[in-house]
Amino acid sequence: MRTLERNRDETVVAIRDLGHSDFDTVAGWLSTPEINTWLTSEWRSVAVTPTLVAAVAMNRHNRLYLATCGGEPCGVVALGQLDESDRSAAVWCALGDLRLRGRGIMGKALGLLVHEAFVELCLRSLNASIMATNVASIRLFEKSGFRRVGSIRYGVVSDGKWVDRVVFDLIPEDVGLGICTVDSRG
Amino acid sequence: MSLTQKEVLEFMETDLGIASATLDPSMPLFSSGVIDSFSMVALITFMEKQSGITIEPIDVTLENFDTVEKIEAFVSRKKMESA
Repeated sequence: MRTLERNRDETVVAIRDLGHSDFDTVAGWLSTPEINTWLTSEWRSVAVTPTLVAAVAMNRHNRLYLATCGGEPCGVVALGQLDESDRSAAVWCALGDLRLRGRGIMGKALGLLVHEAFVELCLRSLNASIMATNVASIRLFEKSGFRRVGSIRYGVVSDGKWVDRVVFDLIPEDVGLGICTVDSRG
Repeated sequence: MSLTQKEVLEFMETDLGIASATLDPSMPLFSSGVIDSFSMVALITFMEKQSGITIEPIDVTLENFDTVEKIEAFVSRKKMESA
């Protein structure tokens, strides 16, 4: 699967299914302290190895995609807790190449993931949970159309302090997409 | 050293908190959600230590890991390949 979008500086941003050859790269990114600090506790409490990434990718409740920028790997966007009965999933993402910050790349990649989720996977709703101190991600999700629906007070320990988790949701109607039904997929 | 189904079940009970009485060797572990990705990695580390094999990320598939029977068969194959 490959979908394309052009970034504002004409760099092509795309996402594709994560493959075996990507595990090392993604493990390296998610191990980086500046990225790992924002992940959920399971990721923060273990060594993030290619084997762990492989195990996460193997789990049928996850869908991991590599974001590429100008053809080069630059981040990961993912669906987790994918529920095929309730047709919902949790969204998370990480810009792997931190030199690319501020260029709108993850916004494009997230938009491609949202399209994939609602159109190809026929999901009915998405959600996300972000540390209140992760201002950049909160801004990213808000700009991508996610709606802030609440917060989980003291939902996470970050750098030794209790921090709230901000909770978001998104439905196809929020981003101008129709509601996919199993029948409409043909 | 080889790895037996009994050893895998004992590890799952003592380290992952999964009662072995509830498992049978053909029961899906991962695809059913009995164990999650992070527990799977702990199991892989245990398998490597017990059997002396090296498990590559590309080996991490449902065909190799989804049941205790498949795990035992995978370890046997890996040991034969490295012999």
